[in-house]
Amino acid sequence: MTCGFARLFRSCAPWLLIALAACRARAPEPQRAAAGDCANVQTLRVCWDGAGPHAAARATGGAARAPGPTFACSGDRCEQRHPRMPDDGEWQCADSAGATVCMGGERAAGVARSAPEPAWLCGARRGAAAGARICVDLSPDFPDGRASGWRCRTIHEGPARRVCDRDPAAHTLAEACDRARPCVDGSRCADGWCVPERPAPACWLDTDCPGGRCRFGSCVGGGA
Amino acid sequence: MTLGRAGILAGAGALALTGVACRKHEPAPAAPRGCLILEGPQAPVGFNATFSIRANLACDGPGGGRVVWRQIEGPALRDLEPARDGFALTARMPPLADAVGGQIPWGVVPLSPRTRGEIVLRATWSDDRGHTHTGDVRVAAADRSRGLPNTPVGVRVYLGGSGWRITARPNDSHAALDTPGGDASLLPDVSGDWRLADGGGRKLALRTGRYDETPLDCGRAGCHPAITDAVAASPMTAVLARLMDQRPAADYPRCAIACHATGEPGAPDGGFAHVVSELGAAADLSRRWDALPRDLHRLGGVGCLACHGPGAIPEAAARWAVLRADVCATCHDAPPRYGHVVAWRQTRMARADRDPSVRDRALCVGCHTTWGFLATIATPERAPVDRRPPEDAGAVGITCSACHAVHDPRRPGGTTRLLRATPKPALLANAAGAADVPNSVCLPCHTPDPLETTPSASTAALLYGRGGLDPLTGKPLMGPAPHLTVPGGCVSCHRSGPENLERGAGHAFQAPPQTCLPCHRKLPMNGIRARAENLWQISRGREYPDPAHPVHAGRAGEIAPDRSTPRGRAIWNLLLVLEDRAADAHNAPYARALLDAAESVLQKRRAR
Repeated sequence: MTCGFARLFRSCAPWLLIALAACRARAPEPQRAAAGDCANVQTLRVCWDGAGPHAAARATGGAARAPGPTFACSGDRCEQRHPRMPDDGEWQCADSAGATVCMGGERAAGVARSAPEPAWLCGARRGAAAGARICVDLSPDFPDGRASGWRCRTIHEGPARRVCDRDPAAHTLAEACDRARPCVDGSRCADGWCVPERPAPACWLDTDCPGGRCRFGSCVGGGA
Repeated sequence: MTLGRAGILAGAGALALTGVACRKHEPAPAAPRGCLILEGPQAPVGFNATFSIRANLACDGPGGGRVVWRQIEGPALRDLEPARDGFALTARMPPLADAVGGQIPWGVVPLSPRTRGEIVLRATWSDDRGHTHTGDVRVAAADRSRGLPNTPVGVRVYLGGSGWRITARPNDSHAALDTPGGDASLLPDVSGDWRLADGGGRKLALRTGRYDETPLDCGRAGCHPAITDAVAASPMTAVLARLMDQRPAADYPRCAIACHATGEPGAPDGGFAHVVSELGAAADLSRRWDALPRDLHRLGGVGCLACHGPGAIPEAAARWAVLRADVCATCHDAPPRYGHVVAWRQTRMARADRDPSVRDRALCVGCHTTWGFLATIATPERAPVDRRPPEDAGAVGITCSACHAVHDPRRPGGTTRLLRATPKPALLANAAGAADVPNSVCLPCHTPDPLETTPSASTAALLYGRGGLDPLTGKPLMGPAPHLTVPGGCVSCHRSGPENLERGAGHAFQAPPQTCLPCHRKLPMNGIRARAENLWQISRGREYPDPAHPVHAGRAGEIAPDRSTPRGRAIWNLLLVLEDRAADAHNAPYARALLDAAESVLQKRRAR
């Protein structure tokens, strides 16, 4: 395949898009969603462009994400063994209002190469050693398939597992919003839904964002 | 939430109901076929332990009849007692010593598919109307063990030695030592550190853990980044990925999971089969490799933990054990399909350090011990690690890891069979073909060192036509090297072994005379050996101390030729030929040239 300037966009754009999509989870730099970029956020399909985020109900059909491990529940607590992570490497993960953010990315030794899971958006962690990455999954697994009403965390002591406690007061992304129902910090109300700012994964702590805050793995409020 | 073995077996389904080694190339049947259903123990029953099997007819129609049992594989069972017309059978597993077939080593006992007491019983039902049904059932005494002191949770560890007791255990453990069959064993129930002591007070530190909880961060800067790079391209690393993508997983041999992935099928060890059972529907093995969940990626293939074990790095004093052939034996000692270890055990290399004196002498350890060999070929950038076994460990031999480097960053690309690349011996430094990878790993120990007083191993000198000295001038006496052009190097001829092995027989490294026939119409019968021994007797007045070569026989000082004299150089040439028992096969023209040169001095002196 050759890509002359004149024919670049017409001939090669589809290939470039495919190649870019394939590279998403390993991008070395913060992967700020470009104009027209979209991601699944729970039940929503959210796209970011110059005017901000737009949200619409997610269409059924299309390429479905492979089912995650099932949750084992006891009372109001459910536990998922072998939770999803961005790739086969070493990660530490945390949950924040319905999104999972992971830090690390040290390659796993002695593991055959495989494609990273495309649902994760990844970028290099600001100010960290080379190779340290931040990844965010805006549509992680929940015991009943819905983020609303659950407060989750990932436990790395002993067997890695994601534990979700039922909490009707917990607020998450992808909830309906209006003046009376504000969105969680780091998200905004767009088209009646709480959606995150355009993801540009780069932070784990607020201190990673000089002058700003770290929300959903991205620096917001001046630190971007 | 913890799963007992029964739950795991139910969950893992087909993955658990199998032996750990494929016996034939074709996949094992998914379930007992026909009307005869055999219900035997699915978990290991223990050594010297009694177990029961029930036979049931599952089909409508004929009933009654009787079942006849026959053992078709494995070490002989004891006390076979059929009951109820053979529909019930009890039998006793062999003791540990019988299954291992030799002395039980102190500490964690290594167990391979061959030595874990795995047996197959065939049941044949028949009635008086001529109906028959047949079925096989497989039972094992124990799970496999690498013999390393870091072991998986949920896999019973057998202990060699006597008087064992636990002196410290993880806080939340309730496991106790068992000795029902006379052999001490421990089934670790939680991850953590254990301290044990035998009757003589000798201590053993065990570290237990789950495979899926063990970090795979070996490649961190300051640890093993180069090894991690090297192993990424290893066929062992990618074996499961490669085969899953080549054919639907449903057709993938179930038995291969034990050796193409990490962990022991059927055990709650956090290994591949166990995690499959925990993941439920998310572990759909009919998908391609990329679509498997992360934790199965980390456990699929023969990665770090498959050989080094889970949990944590063993204490320094115990790390020598990773050099034993027992680590590889957990997969490559499963005859008749995988006979690598069985074949290797027939070689002199397997007994290279049987004589305790060679384990201590600096002159010997480089080629008679694996740890010594690896230390000898270490380079400044890769400092040797002391893997010297304790005094009472006994013979270890020149093991797999001497020749095979599964994660040597120096291994050139494109090499096959994970052969180690070794430095060129000084004698062959400028010889063509000395760097050929198939040859190079054999060369350090089969090439004489020019600085030696007597040539201790002259095979490569003969093969390359190097090493001889012109008796009169002292200049190098070089000759033709016809066998250097044989593709594959040493193992192109040294590739024979027991005939009943499907794979790995070549690790006996035998080269029977028939090996020569494809190229040589007649077997060479040139009398070189007899000529050399005769010349030795004439010149020295006594027989050559064969079969041991001079260094081994402790006669180096007595024989050492003075290479500053024509006579000394002649004897050096003669020793080169005598030292290689197959000098005529390796390079008859050069052997003749060496003897001619030696005779020109030694015969002349005698005639004078």
